[in-house]
Amino acid sequence: MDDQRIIEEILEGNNEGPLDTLYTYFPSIQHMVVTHGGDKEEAYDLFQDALMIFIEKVRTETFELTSSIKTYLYSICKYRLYDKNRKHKRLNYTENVPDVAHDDTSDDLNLLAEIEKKFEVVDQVLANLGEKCVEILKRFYHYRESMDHIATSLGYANVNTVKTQKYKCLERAKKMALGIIGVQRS
Amino acid sequence: MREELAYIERIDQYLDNAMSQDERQAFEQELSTNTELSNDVEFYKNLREGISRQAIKLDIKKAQYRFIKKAKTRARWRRYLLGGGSLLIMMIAVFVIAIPEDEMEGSLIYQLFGNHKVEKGGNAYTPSSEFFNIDPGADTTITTANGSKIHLPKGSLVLPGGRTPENPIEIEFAETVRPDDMLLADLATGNPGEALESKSIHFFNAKKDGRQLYPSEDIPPYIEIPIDEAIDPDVKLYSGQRDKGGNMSWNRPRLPDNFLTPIAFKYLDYYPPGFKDSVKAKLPYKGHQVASRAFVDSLYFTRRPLFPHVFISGINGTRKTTMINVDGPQSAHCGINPRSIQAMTQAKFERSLFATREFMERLDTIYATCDEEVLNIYLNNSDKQLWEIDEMAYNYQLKKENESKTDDLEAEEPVGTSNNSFQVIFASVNQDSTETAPEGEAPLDAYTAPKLSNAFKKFAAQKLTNVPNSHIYSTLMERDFAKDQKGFEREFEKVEKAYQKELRKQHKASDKVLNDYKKMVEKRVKTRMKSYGYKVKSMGWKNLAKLVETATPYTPPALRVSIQDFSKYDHVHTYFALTELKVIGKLNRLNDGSFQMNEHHVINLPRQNAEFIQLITIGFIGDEIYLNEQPYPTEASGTLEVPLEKMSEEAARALLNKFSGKEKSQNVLTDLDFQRQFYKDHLSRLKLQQDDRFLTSLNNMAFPCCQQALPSLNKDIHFPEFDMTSWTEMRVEEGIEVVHPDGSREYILKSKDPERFEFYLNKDN
Repeated sequence: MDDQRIIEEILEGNNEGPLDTLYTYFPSIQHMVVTHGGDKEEAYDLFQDALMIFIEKVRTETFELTSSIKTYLYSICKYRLYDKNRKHKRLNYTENVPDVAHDDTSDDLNLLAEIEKKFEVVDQVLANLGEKCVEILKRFYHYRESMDHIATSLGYANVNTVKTQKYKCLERAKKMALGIIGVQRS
Repeated sequence: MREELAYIERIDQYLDNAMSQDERQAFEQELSTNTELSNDVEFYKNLREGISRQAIKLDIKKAQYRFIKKAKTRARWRRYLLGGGSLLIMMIAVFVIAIPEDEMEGSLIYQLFGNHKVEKGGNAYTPSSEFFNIDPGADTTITTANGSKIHLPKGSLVLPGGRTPENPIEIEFAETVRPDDMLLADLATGNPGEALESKSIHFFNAKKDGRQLYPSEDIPPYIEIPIDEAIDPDVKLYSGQRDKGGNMSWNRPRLPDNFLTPIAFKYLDYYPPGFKDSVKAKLPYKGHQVASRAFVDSLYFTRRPLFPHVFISGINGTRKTTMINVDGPQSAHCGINPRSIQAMTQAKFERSLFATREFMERLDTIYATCDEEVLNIYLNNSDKQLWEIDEMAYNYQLKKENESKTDDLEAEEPVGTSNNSFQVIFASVNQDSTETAPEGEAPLDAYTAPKLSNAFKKFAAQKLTNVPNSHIYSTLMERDFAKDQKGFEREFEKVEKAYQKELRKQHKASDKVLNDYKKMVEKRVKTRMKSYGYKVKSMGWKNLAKLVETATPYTPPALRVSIQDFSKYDHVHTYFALTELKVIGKLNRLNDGSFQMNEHHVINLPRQNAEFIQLITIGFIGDEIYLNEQPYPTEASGTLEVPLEKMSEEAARALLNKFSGKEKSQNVLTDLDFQRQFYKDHLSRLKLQQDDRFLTSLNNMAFPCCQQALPSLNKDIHFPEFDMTSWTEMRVEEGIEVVHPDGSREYILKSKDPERFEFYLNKDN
């Protein structure tokens, strides 16, 4: 699967194929992480974050690839590792971080942090909303399944029951969000 | 509620860009004035994105899971796919050991160089090291970032003087496999005037609190470098030394050790040659669709020499036979004891010499020797190099062959049953189509048989080594093997006893049906005799007058009842019924499948009643019933062709009841129930016979030196024919077939030799 195709598929909402391709880049990234003061588990975490950033970028629709996806992911992982190492002062980074000039990927590094902040409340809400609700909302909003289909596959009596249930879930989510924001403000 | 739903739907439409331009404008207008709406839109937008993010995160996790699973499978293949195939991935080791080689040899030198320290050296591009703290008093295997393995058996690293250091010690390992890295690190690629194509350059060192450690002479560490390409016999291991200027020179090439690689037992075929294939060919068998390890194991581990054929209860003519087997001391030379293989293939030996392809090659030859002692040579010496054990086996086998040669010269005839040859094994492939046993295939002459000792000689010449840490497994083998093997033996005895008991129970049940039927027919015939003055001998008796005064005995002409499409039916039965008197009889089955009234039937038929004889014929295909009923043509002779027609069970029962008497023995339905039971028994007996043949063929593979004839299949149905003239003279003779240790068979009839009959019968129990 070439880079263009990967982006198209992600925009279509099909992540499975692209992700399998992207994971073939992982060993070289893991090698980089391990040889620069990280460990194997860390490599997995870094790569997951890099993929998340990449897919978010693709989905913003303004995304334009200036290098290959592999290089992009590699750079993101490298800089984040660099940041981590510096923060934790666990290594003398002048020795352990490759001397690579900043490129455009560095701007994307903060993207994840920004997004995390933006979705702080929503993530908390989703974590507490209950499986049933999340499942309905995910199917409806992310996978774009029809109400009919959702009713059948989740075992609801009819479309109207699902619609009501979805409404209740959204209401509950709103209340929870207001609660969380309230706590944050006080 | 409806309003609220519409409110949400409107927001959804807006966020989905699904509004018309007018609607959109109106909505945006409202947004600018209605704070609550604009807050809600903002929140729902975020919520929707958050949901998508969660889904994406899950997709990534799933992809990672697939990746790890795939990587594991690849790693497994890398380990198992040794030898053959295009995907050849071998462990090629090119070691950089920065310890001068002389220092590695002999502890005296260690002491002299006690202060010497091995350092990695190099420049900024030299690969960084991985450090591991390990306990030198335990067996440890370290896997490095690149997947290299450092096996450190207990005591493999020592202080100068040979003492094992205290826990913990520090292991250092650095590796580079990429050519450009090698160049940058100033490590590649050869000495002046010669070029080296490196597969891996790496640095290995061990220290205890800064003190240099050395590889033990007896149990050195072992390093495995995985390389994804075919094995190259020209690859050698070079040791590197830096000069004062830091330049590396590669010296003292030697061949890598290349240990044997253990493979999980489930990937190995440790059964006798042909065994697994035979099982595969028999599938599906006993509910198994594939020859899984557990299934083939269960078949092989439950084999025993001189396998007793299942007792096939006979309604075969008049003989009822039990076959039993007398285990003798000779059976030890029939082949390798399957329980030994069972003990050897336990999970705890999965990393031992016995779990290698190389040992599997030897095992085939060991099977052919039929000599447990050869297997023991391997089992008891597994701490040695494989080629050394091969030599021991060679010497043992050679000695044995020389001795047997002398024996043969002294004996008048060459050896009989206890021949040792490969061919015997291959001759015993199971073929269900052959009705006769391969008895004609005489054991091969000892002079022409290929000498097995030669095979071991060839093995020894391969100079193969052993698996890493073989000493651990040899200790384990010494401690556990005999005990485990006995345990399996006991377990097997238990299982087999239970199996035999179950078989006997089944046969007893089918015997009972046979006896019940016999009693019933006796009663039927007696009733007929009583009522109609049956004469056992025809001369001089006049008691017919007692029955019907005007009756004169009548003998109708001989008539054969032949069934149309006879072979279509599973089984067919023909009865005659005297409709007024409600008595029945069964026509006798002739060899060609037709039926006929017997002398004793017909002489009782009073002439005037002859017209009221009804002929009833019933055929079965599975549970389907095909029936014909018609008046018996008392005056006809020759052949009567009877067509059968399908009929429902109820209709058939109603019809048959019409002709049958109340008395059970005079009821066609009761008789048919018995016949159906006999047919069922026949099918299960046939199944047993087929199993018996199959298991015997497996046995011949497991014990190539005690070939047993395959029991023949008896596909003919023998329905008991008790309802005939000679029934009084007929009795079921009980007998027992004894298989003696030398393979000979003897038939002992209960009536002729009751004492021995009882003796063997009890022995079997």
